[in-house]
Amino acid sequence: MVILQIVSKSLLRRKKRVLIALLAMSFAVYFVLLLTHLKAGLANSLSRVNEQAELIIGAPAQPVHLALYGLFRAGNPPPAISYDYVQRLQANPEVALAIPLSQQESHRGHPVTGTSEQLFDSINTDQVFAQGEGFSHSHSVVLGASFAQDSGYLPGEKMTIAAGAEPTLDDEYSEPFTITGILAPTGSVLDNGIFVPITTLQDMRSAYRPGDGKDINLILVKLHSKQATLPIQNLIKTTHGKTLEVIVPVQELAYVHQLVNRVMNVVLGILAITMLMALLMVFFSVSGSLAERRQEVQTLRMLGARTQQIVVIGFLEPLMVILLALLVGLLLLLATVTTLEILFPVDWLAWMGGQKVSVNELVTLLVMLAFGSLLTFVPAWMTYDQCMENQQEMVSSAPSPTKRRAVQTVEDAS
Amino acid sequence: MDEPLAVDIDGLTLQFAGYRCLDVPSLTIEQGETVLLFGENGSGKTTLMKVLSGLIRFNSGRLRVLGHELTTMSDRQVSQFRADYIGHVFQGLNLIPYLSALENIVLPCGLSGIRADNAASSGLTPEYEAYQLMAKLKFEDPERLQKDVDQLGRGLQQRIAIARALMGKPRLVLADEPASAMGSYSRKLVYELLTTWARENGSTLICISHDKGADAFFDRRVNMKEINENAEFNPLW
Repeated sequence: MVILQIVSKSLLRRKKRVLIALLAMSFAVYFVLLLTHLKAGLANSLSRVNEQAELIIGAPAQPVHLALYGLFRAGNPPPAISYDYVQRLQANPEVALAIPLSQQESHRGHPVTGTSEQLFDSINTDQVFAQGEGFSHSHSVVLGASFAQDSGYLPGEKMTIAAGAEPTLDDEYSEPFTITGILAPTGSVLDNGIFVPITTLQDMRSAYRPGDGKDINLILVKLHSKQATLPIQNLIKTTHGKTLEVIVPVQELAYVHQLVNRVMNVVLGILAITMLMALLMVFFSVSGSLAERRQEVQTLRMLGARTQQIVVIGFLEPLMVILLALLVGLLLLLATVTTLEILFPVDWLAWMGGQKVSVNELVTLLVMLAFGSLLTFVPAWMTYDQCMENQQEMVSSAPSPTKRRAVQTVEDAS
Repeated sequence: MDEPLAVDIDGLTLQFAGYRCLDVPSLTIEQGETVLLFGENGSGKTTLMKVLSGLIRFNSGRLRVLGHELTTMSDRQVSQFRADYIGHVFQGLNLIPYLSALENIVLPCGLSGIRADNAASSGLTPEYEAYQLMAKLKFEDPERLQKDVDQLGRGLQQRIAIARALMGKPRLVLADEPASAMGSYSRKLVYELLTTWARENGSTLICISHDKGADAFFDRRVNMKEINENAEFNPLW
């Protein structure tokens, strides 16, 4: 107890220096944890969406763009392709599902996706619908879990849909849709979607603007066997190479992941250096005071403090700062994640999801703690060294032979 | 059975950097005795004190303190022995600057269970015993004891150092110039308190002082020149 009292009072006495070191280290810990969290969240999110399709087909475009749009709806919709390809793909025995995606309409600013019932068949969870069912009739509309919650729409209610992303009253389709189902949460971009049957949309588009409207933006393809992925990709490239781009999203996302990881690793490296500087700051704020504390060590030894107790003081002081910094860093991370979940629930959950603090962050914390503890051994060792030197110093107050010789000379001279 | 001697020295020598600074053929001090140790600067008074408390290991000879053979004890045992049985008043006071006056006084109880038990045996908390000791030193303002020691005057710091040495009733009190920073009235008060306290508690007191006025309070005066064959007068120190 007395050791803890000495350590805490000693830290309080040097509170300005300790506070600066604590702040620097807390922020370094916070950024390291945040980046680790983002890295792990991104990896999780990519592995989750990778299950959605083995192939993505669209008009010739950047493969990464197709992958990001197909799985995250990130970026602008790719140029249109013919709906006929869907029917041709469905005829191939290797293809389990060929899901069309078309985004040319909106509902009160929210994009509406024209698709087929097969989209719901591709959802790989125990419960696909939280309420209702899929496209039970031609004017069905199915809502994602988050959109339904935010908008308050319920099955049986009617919705209007308009052409374009920023429509006027004239762009509104004349026939309303009826909500027939609400999807269970998936933790993906589907949660924020509004889905209507593509065939109905095509009819409405033709009525709205004759001669137009059959086209779609993308086709997500699920195969019976993943072994067939490359043969089917090659087949499509060979037969429709000029009009279609066909990508394997796993590969594209792996590329994206690799790029992002590279950037994150550079940032992590910078943060690790910042962290090291902060640790050194803690180290110097303690070891600097060791010189001031020479007498203090001597006093404690005279009062009967054992060498181990004095070493513990040298060890505990920086360790307490490090532990506090880790705690503050962790709390800052929790606060950030919670704030982002409140401010951007759908986007954040789609990209990150999972727990607020994962095993990755805990492992990072433990690594930082282990490294910090190793570094705190240095001031502890210096304190120990000081204890050992102390004995020599105590005797040195006795007359030395040099001094004695000097005295002798003075006496002889007199 | 006879009580062991408080100090029993037989042929003790201490060398440092090739120079023999202590050479004490024999010295015995009974338990409960109050001894005034005096001598010229450099005669080895402070060094002898440190040897008695086990802070400095000597080179040859035999030393028994309160019946404990210090030569056969490990560093850890010597530290514990010091914490349990020896109260120190240092020449330089050696107070911990960031602890309050009260925390400094009760510090020995935190380092020794025996000292804490001794304080509790009289039915007092260590803090209350600290207030009592300070009252005996004519300081009766408990509020000021809550302040950090470096905010207090030198005279008061000296009293705090004395109270710390007596805390938890140590069996041997080693005081190195305990009243050096005080006026004549306070000096007299300190010697009186230390010797009275030692007699009341059956503790042994060894006190270094150059103060002639202190002689009357002690049972015995020991001149370093008489016990240390290497004690020499040195005008430089």
